[in-house]
Amino acid sequence: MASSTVALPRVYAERGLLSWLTTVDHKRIGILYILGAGFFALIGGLEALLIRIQLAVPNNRVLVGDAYNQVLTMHGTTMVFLVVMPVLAGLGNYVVPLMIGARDMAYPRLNAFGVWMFLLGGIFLNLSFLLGGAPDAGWFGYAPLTAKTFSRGTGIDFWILGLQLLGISSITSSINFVSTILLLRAPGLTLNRLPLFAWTTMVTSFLILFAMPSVSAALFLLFLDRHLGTHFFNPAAGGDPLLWQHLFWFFGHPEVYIMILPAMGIVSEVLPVFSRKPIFGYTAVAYSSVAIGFIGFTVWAHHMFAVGLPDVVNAFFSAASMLVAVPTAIKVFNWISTIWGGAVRYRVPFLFAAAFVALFVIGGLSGLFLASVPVDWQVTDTYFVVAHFHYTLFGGSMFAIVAGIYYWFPKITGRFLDERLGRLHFALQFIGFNLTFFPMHFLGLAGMPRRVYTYAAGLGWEGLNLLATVGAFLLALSFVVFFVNIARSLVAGERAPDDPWDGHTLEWLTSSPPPPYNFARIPVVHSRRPAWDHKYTGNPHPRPVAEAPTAQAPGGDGPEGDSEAEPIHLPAPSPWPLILAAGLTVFALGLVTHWIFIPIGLLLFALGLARWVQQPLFPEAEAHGAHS
Amino acid sequence: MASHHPAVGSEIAVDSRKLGVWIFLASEVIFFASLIVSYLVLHNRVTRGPTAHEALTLTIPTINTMILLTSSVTMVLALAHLRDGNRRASIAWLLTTAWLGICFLILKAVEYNHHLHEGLTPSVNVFGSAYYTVTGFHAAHVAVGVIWILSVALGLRRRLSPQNDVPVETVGLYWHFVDLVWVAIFMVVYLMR
Repeated sequence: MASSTVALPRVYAERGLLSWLTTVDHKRIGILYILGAGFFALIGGLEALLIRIQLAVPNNRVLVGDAYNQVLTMHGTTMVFLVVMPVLAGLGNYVVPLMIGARDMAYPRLNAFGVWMFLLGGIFLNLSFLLGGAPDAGWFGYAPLTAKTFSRGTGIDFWILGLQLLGISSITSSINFVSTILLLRAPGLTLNRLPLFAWTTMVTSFLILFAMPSVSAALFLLFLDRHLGTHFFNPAAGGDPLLWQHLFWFFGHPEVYIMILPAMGIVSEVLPVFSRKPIFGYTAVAYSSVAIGFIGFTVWAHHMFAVGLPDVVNAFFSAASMLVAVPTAIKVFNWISTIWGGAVRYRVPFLFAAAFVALFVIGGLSGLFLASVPVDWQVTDTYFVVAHFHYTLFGGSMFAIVAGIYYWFPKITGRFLDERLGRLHFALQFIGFNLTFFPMHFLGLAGMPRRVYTYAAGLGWEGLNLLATVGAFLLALSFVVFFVNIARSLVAGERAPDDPWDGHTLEWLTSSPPPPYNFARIPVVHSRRPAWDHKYTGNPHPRPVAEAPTAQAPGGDGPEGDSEAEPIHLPAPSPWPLILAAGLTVFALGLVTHWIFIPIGLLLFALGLARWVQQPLFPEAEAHGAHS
Repeated sequence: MASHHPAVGSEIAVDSRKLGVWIFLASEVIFFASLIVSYLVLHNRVTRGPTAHEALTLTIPTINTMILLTSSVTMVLALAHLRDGNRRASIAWLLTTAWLGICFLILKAVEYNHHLHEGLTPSVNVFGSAYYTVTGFHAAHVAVGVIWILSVALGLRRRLSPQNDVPVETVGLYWHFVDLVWVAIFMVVYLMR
């Protein structure tokens, strides 16, 4: 009677706003992350355009002084915490459970809490524009500029509490990723067969877990300095502004690997599929991610070469920073070797992934320059640094993210993104990006300081700045094309089959889009490329696709696969994660605006927590408890 | 529940809730390490007001150390009794643990009150800032632990069983961690004053 016990998962409200507000489905949560990041990308992109408009010509008056500082700070903060991190978390949420043959993340409700915390934290941060001015001390918030003496408004408080809320989101989602990847892999999917995107997501989660608490502590100390009169970063009373820099960059440098490693994982999935070859050096790519993660914690003071640390300290951090080039270069050689000799299909995901490799190498090389103390002293706080980190974070992370979206869009929506619009998007983004940021190398070498809202005429910076601004508009246009492409495809895109790219990972073996339970039966994995095994080696095992689970399942003669003939449990939807996240956000709002929000927030928090704990994860929990 | 247990293919056989708490505590290590390092960097840079040596005495913190260490033992007993099938004894030990936590907090409040009368406030000097912050965040963790223990002991009372011991084990992990942090604080803040 094995087949009859494969019961249909209980059906809840599957449409409408309420179903999204209470969802615990990793796929919907992933979509919420991606949509939220897309929305904040519009804001962060507009901020970037404002900056470039102001800097287009010398002595411009479009955005000056404090307004410029606010926009600059929010551009950096938004792109790091509200765009790159959440879109990577969103792709990870959507794809990783499918890749490892799981039905959901390890903690579905904590997952929902994470996405609400991100969305509300992002809204909270941006509310500052309306409530007395945005933070204006840079995304790094250097002390003592952030002290009450120098930043009297509430902007810095919005920044402190906003980052704390977003940090809670990151920590919970990281715990979830690590547990999911360690515990919920399909039978046979050993760590040595784990898809590389899952590998990098796991390493990134560890980085978040060990880096985020450092900035979280620093933000608490800063908040106490501002409101309780403590002296952590106040040099007049024995405090130490450099303590802030150490605590911040102990987080801040791993943070850049947090933003690049999953991007590298995406590229490591896309390149082999479109080169029609297995990844070259799987083990090296996986282990070099771990190496980057480890070394990433020993390089933070290279952000502080100019503050006057002892030479021996500078030398250590310089050497450690250069060491990062080794595992990174290992990856680059592996990607090139993957493409080399492959039957390459120049589809849009491949174009973006290949461009990632080229642009990231440029960013990596300028990073090597900056790792050298004497060079850093010359170009620190100039546009050379701006050029460097945009080549890694835009040329790197963002190109890979776009590659990933073109690659997984058919799986997520069941429709292709348009190939011709995609090529136009690629051309515009590639040209626009290089026009914007390549000139900044020369501007930096010519001495143009970053973070300053204008510059004088006659310094030889006019032409390149204008060029960069033109490039920024091309870049903006490329994203208009991207969004148009997405909107068109959602309505009238070409229907995509389950496996449009001839992929090799498990997500291509279920339908597009996948059913709520992902796989009717959990697939069994025999190699690093289970989908290729299935398609090309005549694998005798039952096809692990999502058939309607009420149908008569193939008889009990299959090997491992049939051990899964038990009821599919899907966690019940829950409103409490949203209530809990709302409680924390309202509480934070109370701390910066009116005290009345503090008790309201605490009440919501207590209500959400109490009801969450009381609600069983599975509605059938009591009935089926005895079986396990 | 099926979902709390690893899938068939996983080499790692551990309840997902337990693993989650372990990972969270690993992250907390960095949080307290950041606070303690900040304390170490700053506490000797006093420009005015009482120094660590002048303000801190050992009596209350030593008693508090013994209280917390004892509470770790009672927590272990709670888990052991639950696994032996003795739910009532287990809940009694959980309540004892929570009570010891409350005693710790009361004594901590007495100590703070004493400091405030001696003129040591969070804003008087950088030692005061760091001292109240490190011990305050620890005390907040103790308070969360007390609430967590009470909600397991009272809220989940009927559902605890030798088969369902994870709620006790997870709160136990957290409690032992908070104890360990106190031991570090006791050494760094009080013994090295």
